[in-house]
Amino acid sequence: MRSYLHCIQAGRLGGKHGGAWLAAIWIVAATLFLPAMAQPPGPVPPLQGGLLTTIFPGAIQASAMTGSPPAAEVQVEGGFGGYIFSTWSVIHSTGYSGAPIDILVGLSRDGRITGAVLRQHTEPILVIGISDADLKAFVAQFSGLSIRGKISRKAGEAAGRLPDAISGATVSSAVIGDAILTSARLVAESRRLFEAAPTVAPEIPEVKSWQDFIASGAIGHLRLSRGEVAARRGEKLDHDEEEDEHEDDPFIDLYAGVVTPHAIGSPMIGAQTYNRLRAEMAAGDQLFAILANGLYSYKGTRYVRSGVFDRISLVQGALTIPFTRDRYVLIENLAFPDGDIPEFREIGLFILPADSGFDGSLPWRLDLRVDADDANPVVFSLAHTPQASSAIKPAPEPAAEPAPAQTTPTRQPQIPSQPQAHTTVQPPPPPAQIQAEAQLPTAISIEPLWKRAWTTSVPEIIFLTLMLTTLTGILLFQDFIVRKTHAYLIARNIFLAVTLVWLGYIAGGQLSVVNVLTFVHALRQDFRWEYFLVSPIIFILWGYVAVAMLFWGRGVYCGWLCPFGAMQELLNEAARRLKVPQIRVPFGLHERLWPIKYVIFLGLFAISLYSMELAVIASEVEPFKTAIVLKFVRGWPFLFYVVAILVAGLFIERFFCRYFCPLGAALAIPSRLHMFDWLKRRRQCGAECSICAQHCTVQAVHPNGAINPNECVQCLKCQTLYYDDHTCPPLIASRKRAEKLRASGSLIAEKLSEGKK
Amino acid sequence: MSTSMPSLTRRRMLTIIAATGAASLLPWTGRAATAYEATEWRGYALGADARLLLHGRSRADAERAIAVSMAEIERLENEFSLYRANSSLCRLNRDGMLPRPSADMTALLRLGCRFGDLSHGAFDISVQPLWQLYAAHFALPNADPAGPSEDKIKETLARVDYRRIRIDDDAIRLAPGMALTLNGIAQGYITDRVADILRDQGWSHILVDLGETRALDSHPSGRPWRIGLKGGPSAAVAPTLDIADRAVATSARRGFIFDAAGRHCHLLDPASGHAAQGFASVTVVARRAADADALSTALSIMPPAQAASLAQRLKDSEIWVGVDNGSIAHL
Repeated sequence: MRSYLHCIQAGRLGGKHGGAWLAAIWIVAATLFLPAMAQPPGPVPPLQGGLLTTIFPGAIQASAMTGSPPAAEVQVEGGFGGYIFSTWSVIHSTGYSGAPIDILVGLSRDGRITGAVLRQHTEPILVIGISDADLKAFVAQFSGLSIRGKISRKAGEAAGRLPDAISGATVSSAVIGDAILTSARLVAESRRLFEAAPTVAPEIPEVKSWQDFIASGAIGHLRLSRGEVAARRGEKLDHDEEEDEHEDDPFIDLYAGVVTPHAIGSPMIGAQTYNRLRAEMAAGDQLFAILANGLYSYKGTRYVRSGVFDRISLVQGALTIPFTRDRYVLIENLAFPDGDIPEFREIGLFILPADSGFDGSLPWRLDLRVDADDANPVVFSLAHTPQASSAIKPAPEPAAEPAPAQTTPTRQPQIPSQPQAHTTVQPPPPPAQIQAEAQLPTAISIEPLWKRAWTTSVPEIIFLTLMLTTLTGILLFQDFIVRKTHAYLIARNIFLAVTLVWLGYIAGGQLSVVNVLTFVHALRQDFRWEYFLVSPIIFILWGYVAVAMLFWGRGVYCGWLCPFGAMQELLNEAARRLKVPQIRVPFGLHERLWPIKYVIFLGLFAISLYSMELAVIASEVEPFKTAIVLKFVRGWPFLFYVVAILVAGLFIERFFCRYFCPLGAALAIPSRLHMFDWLKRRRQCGAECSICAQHCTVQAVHPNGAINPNECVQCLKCQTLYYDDHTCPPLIASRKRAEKLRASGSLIAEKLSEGKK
Repeated sequence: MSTSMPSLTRRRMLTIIAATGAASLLPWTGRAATAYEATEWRGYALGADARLLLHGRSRADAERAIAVSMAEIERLENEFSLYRANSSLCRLNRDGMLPRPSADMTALLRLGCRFGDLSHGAFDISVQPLWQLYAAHFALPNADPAGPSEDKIKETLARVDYRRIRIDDDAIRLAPGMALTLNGIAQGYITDRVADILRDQGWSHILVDLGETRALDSHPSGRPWRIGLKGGPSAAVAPTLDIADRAVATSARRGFIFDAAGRHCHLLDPASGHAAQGFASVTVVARRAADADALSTALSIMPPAQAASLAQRLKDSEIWVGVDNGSIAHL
């Protein structure tokens, strides 16, 4: 008690010093465990009984998970029925937070998903929206989906359509869907479930760096200097000395190859993008990557209008495979986890359809047209023989078999033949379809999830920015604004109503202690801004709160931007008007109840270090999810809890904020660093008068008159009183003095009174 | 349409060309005398005798190169051949439109049109309907030796104009009734492609002879490649050409003849609708075989005076012409 008082005063006089050690503890606690281990899912439980038949209806028994990627063979009546695998074992699937996510999936021998069971997840966003049951139900909806064909994300397409994403958890839904489909495809390919499936070299070592990528044997390289191109064109470079230097400049430095295998593609473009792509690709489709630097663009610009990349084509034997925009995926950066990643001017991925006849294990050639606009282009070719697979498959048989060298003509004359299965690359689509495809605005969109989230929520972002600007204005000009007491209080109630209705219910902007825990958790494991950028509203709010916290303390959030806080305050306001008696907690008790929220927060933090899942469950201490996110649509125990809190709040204003809110506690600790103490006090405060203390929303005013910044919610009510010469006793006294003197007509007294003001 | 054509196969036609008028290689005799390892492959491609001369690398490499070349020829024949019912060209002629053409197709059509412009329309890849008219006419048992009637020729010529081909990256479209032939240029293009691919795979000092001849660099011994020219009606060996890093193509009126009397050769002039009356044969040495191929055809069709004036303007090419008496002259 004594020491606490000491703290308060220290905070008031020099918050930076007093708060420093607390903040330091907070930061140390957050970063101490930086290299902590992730929590990979434990071994898969024995596949039997209800679990087995849920994943694979009709299964009699399942073997242990073996092979690469690991999968259990499932026996049904009548023999072999399919496979069961764990997405974690197959692709190390991770969720939105970067923490492991594991789903057990059954895959029948004809390529249907028989069932899927969510085994482990730590999706923090779920806390803010969706119950575990919702998520499990979403996962279960994948059963019946065939992975043989292309899977569409577009709504309204019946065949091969993904289940609808859980609203409010679209990112988690997408990540889960991609994990299920990508692992299913990889298992199907490795077990050669479909004939169309490409040859997959088993056990390709995981590519970790650019060097590994080049050494993988999948990638071919072609470097053309300006001089070489000029020579092929039949030109001579101008032999100025200056030009000579440029003769060796790369005209183009080109890398290309098949990156379909998980071990190559996933590290190259990042697991999330890879999974997204693989989830959409049909069995047997191949991913072909082309990377380039130099003066010349292999993409050119004409494809934008024509839909066909005119400068490049892929050739295999007698096959020509054009690159088209509708199968083109723009990749901005390479994602190799280790080593230096060279920068490329152009990175493109192309999905080669299974029916193109392309075989990734056979030699291929990439033709590059220089001066493609010209009538007689110069063509260079990058020829490559995949090495990893050439050891496995016999030497390629080209379409036209070679005659032995040094022989006289032995080849049969080529008789105009029947259309050969391999000679037509793709049955040409009817003209109408081409027209339709030419209308396609872009290629398959693989922009990061967070970018999409930002571009689709521009109106919300603008409105939130307006809100925050208004709030900043109120805080900056508080000294003037609070003097219009009545107008200010109305404005504040309007702001709170907007916070509750728009920010809370419409925009989904309720922060939670889970955000804090996730942030710390991510710092310890695999921190990526992407995880936090996924929700623009939450991200902007946190950014603002972080800055506001340093300026004014945690109250800016609690008192203005927390929808649940707003709900409590508005309800209490209504209760007061209805003459509901208010309970004034004796300060001694009040002060002793404060620490509860800190204990709750530290408890949650400790739990989160042990298990994020458990911490997420324990965070139900916060009523936010029930009251704001789920809009009270929830089971009765949760409703009972929230209603109890709200009813308590009718008698004790901001009951939950005062004593229990772990988010408030989490914000209060670093708020000790705040720079400004703009809340004005008089020397009479506490000693002669305690009106502010009685009116304070959260009883943050100490009996000695000091405002405890840890508890203050920046409602500025004390400031309205501070300037109110009908309430604040020192002001009343001086006003009365002035009135008396004015009544007596004393000019001197009037000056005196002005001086006081 | 190509499917209803008389029993003339390209093989026969080109064989005749090869036998009577085309450039041919002198017997290559350097092998025994020099130390380099050489592989000669002789075979059959594009309906004609074909030959590849490779040096300096292992036999396995050479065999791979041959396989690659054959695959490329196969691939491009599926694009350009008039004698494969399902080739891209046949589909274009049949449907009047070719969606999603390969880059090879658009490139070669553009090149064909460029030579059309260069030759003031003498070289026209849309001359196919006229060719079909002559072929159908002379396929009849009692064909008028004077050729098809003027009316029919006039009517057919209305469908011949390469400028009415619409070439876009996403589709090629023909005006109604049009049909294309790439026989005057495709062989050269394919020869170039094979040579370029072999060059990109590290081959040098090689000779690719697929009806048209293209030499990469000089002969491995350092001297130029020596090509013997045959011209005119006689088989007498005419002057030889020394070439390095060049292509050679010959076009001869007698390469294919519709009628027994020899009045109607395959080189049809889209200006008149009749067989060309220019030089008996034209041999072009150019940087690329496609250019040589198209130019030799164009210069054979053009009246000699016009041809000579065009030849003056071609800086990068050398032109030899054979006249009817069998002599060959440098133009």
